[in-house]
Amino acid sequence: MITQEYILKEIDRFAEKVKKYDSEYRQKDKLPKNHELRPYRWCSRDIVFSLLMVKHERYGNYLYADLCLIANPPQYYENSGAGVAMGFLLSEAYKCGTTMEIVFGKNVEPRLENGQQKSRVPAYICDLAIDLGVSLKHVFEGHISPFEARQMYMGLAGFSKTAQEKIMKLSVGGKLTPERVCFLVMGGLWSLPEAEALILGSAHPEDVLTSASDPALRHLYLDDLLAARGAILGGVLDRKLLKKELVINGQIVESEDEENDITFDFDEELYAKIYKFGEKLELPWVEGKKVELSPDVSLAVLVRSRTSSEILEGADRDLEHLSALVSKYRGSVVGLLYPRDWEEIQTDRRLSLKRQIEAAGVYLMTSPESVAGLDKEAMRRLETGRMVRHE
Amino acid sequence: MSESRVTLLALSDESCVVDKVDLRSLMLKAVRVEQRMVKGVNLEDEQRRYHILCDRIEFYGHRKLSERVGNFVELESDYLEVIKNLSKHFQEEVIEARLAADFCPRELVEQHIGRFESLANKLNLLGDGSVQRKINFYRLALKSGWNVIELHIPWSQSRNESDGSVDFDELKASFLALKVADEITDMADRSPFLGLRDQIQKVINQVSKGIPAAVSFSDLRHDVIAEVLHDFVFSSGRPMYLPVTYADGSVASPFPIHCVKSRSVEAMKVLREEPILKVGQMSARHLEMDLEMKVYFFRNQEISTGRSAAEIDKVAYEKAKELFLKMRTEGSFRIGYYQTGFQPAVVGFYRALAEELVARAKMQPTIEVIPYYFLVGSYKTGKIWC
Repeated sequence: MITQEYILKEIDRFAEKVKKYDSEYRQKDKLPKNHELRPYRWCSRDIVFSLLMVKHERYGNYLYADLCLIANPPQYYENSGAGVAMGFLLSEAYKCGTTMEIVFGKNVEPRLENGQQKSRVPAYICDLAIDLGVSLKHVFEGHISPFEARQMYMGLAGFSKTAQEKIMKLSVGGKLTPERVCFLVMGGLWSLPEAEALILGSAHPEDVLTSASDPALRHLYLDDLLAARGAILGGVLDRKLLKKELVINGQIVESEDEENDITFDFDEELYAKIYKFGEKLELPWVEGKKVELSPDVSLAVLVRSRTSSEILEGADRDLEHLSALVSKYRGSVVGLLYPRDWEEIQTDRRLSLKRQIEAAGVYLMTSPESVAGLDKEAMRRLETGRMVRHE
Repeated sequence: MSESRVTLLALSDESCVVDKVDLRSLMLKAVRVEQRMVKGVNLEDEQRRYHILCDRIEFYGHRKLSERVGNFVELESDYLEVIKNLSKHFQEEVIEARLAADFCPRELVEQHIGRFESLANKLNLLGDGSVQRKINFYRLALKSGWNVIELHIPWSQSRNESDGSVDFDELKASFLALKVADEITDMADRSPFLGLRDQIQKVINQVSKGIPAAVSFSDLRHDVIAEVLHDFVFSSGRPMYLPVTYADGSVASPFPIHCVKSRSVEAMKVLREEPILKVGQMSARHLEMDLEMKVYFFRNQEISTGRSAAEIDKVAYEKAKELFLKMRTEGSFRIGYYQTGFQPAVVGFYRALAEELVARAKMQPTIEVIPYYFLVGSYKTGKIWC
């Protein structure tokens, strides 16, 4: 039973730990080891979602949560605090190399049983498990088993049904663990739509997501790099569309956590991003035109992260795919997204291509990103992926 | 899908000049970088240089292709699978013959296609369409003195995977049936020694049920690792290999357990008349030990390679195996092994030692390792390996 007294006591314990942590680590400019107890506070602006204290219990090889306070702020979606806390606990368990078992210490929502203080899996986390359709078997022992953790992680990462299907296929085939995909998304290396584009749109997502290819084996590495480059260019468009620019006193202000209302989808057959909007927006990166997007019309964008010479070489194929996209998404606004390298094409050739694109009823969008920049970012992500726990 | 097809483009020396850039010069530079990459020195810098050179070669190659300069042939979509297969089965040969490179200056065409054909033959791939096309194209390039660039054409097809659709519920059932531990750890308060013992026992139980599991040695006290491993190596039970992993997820070679029988005091009598040689585990970790030690077992520079923990474990294991083998011809040794920590090196050392003791089981005892751990201000003796 969570009482006011329990919450205040845990907040005091947390504050004490933060003080100790500051003097032992922050003031000495040191970082704690995984097996040392660390306090975490998860907030958005002044709203606290969760307070946690965790460590890697190295001899048992599980993640130990010594303190776990969860809020359910009414301004956010139902049980958001538990989602935040559990997302962190699972990612931390993965990062520390544990078996993915999570153990809640005896101070977490304690009760007396035969004179002994016992913990439990926090009630909000149990509610979350029910929402995710996961049955927890060790609630009153305070444990989440690796089997349960796997299902909760998959549920929390929020993949679409088609992407989940592909991840399951890869897992059943022994090519990729679901925990790794979830960690790469929840750890922020790939956004969810970027990861979906990789999983659904590339021939070997497992190679990209495990950073399997050696840069010295150029064919294999380039194959991964091209897949990553495409996903990143799509991600740049996602962020541009999501970004809300508020005008305050005539000044444009970007809001940190207020984003445009957009739903994402991915057409794996044509490698196109499909967007639906909850409000009116302007189509970005279209030269000389102002194209308004409205909630009753979806947007389909063929994403092609090609260099100028690749654009020239692949123009006919892109036009074929555009024509297929226009037929498939009749009534939608259709775009073709190229990186800035488009501008390197000779003017007469470029204008002729642009005319052909527009004649197909498609808006040409040129992102401010160049292929060189996209490749740099792709290489960084592949390199970072190499440092992440491998399985 | 973003799936690429590969197009082979052959260019004469004259056609290799684009604007003021000579593609041949870029290719030869890139080949030199490949040779340096094999040595592994300043690897990241060399990889960066290699990417820049390849990127330029590919860029101008695409331009030539769009201008329809040179001869070209499109390969089937499975060509990259062929390269992947060859790399998987013949990693060293593929690197040596540059079979995964996407360009080939004319000087190397003969060697390239010869090795490609021979390795493809070993995998019975000579009947494959793209393999045949490549061989024919390279033979023509060889005869004509052409340079070859293998260009990726991404988004060259719009069709979806042809692996067939599977019922989602069936797939989910197979996914949930994947073997993963569903047990929980017993939470009784216990010492690090008992904690690791329990972890190992749990892994043994899971492995015997076919559930994938491994012992993680990361972050553990090195004295605990050595003492607990000693117990499992020398205790009776079904000999087996214990799966080993580290926190970075890297998987090391398994560790042999239940495999060595303790020698009697009587059997060790002669060997124990010899003096103990003080051997530090690894140089340059605790410089104050230098005055006390006769020698260090590992050179820090050789072991601390900055790679994954499993790779470090492997390096330590191989080095220790090599030294133990050499020691067989050099007489008897009583080693006072002063541990300095670094878990993968500790595990690698004891894996090699356990195997060495198994190999010498039927011989007169000629080696004894007495671990020493620096605990609370002084050295404490550990359990003896002999």
